[in-house]
Amino acid sequence: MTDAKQFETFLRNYQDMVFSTAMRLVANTAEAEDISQEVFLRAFKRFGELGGDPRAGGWLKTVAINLSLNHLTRYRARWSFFSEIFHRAETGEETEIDYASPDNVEENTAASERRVLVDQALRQLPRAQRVPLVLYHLEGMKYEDIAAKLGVSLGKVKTDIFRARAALRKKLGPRLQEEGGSRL
Amino acid sequence: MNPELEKELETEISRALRGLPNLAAPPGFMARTLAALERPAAWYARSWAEWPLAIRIVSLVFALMAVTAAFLGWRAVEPSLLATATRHFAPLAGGVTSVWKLLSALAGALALTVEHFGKGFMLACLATVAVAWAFCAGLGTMFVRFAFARPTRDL
Repeated sequence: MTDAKQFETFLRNYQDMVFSTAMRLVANTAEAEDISQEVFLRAFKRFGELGGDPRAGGWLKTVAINLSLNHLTRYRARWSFFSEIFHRAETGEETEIDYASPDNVEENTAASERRVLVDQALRQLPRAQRVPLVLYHLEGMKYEDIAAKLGVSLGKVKTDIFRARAALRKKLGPRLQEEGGSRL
Repeated sequence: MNPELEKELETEISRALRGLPNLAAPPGFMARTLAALERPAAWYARSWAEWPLAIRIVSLVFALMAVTAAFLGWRAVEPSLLATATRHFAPLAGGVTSVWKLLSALAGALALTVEHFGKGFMLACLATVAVAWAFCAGLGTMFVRFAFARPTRDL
């Protein structure tokens, strides 16, 4: 297989993971797509090392997180104050949510609907709450690491994550408790 | 908040989020990324190591010349040349002094104005200017977002 073909396969295998990571952090399809593209352009330059490396997924995820956070810091900081005022503009867009692995026929459709609702609720959180929440729950980072990454105090990270959880529960309350221990 | 309730909330949200599968990348994403890979960036947008050889050589020669000039230049300057330069730039220094005097006069006038109208009035003026600035910036943000809103693509 040629390098081009190998990279195409590599891109196909990881595109959903990279896009998801960026999308859940920036909550904007076009921006997440730009970030994901940049991730793969960087991966291409190091494809010699990454191509057959089982840790490539981890590398891609780390770069996607870093680029998303850089994007949020550099390009949005100037707008953040007024964007918080025009809250709707800052919170995520409302587009159709499409998952990489379609539900199988046996899966409970109510569960898949709830997943969509969770993703929508996540996008609607203010950036200051969404980003630490995603880093903690989806990316498995520790509070201390999130604080260091975002350049804020540990207390702020904990408060923002707590508020984000409370906001999610408020939006999803009944659905969160519907099936108790079952996965959404 | 009650730590037990907090823990319960964390468990609930954790369960909800960990069950989320990956989102599907937009349909044209792969094609666009592959096209971007085939479109090389301009030489000046790439790192120095990737510049064309001729440009790298020229830039290296220029850099070496600049460093050499900076290193040897100071020793080569004659004291008389320095004196000439000082005389040459003296009028410019005079201009700077005039500007400084003007600024000092303006600052003095401002101090007198504050004294005359009182601090409260001046603070109110400053507050008005700040509110006006915030209003303009806020409207600006709104209009920029409206004017440059990126088209939303379906996932």
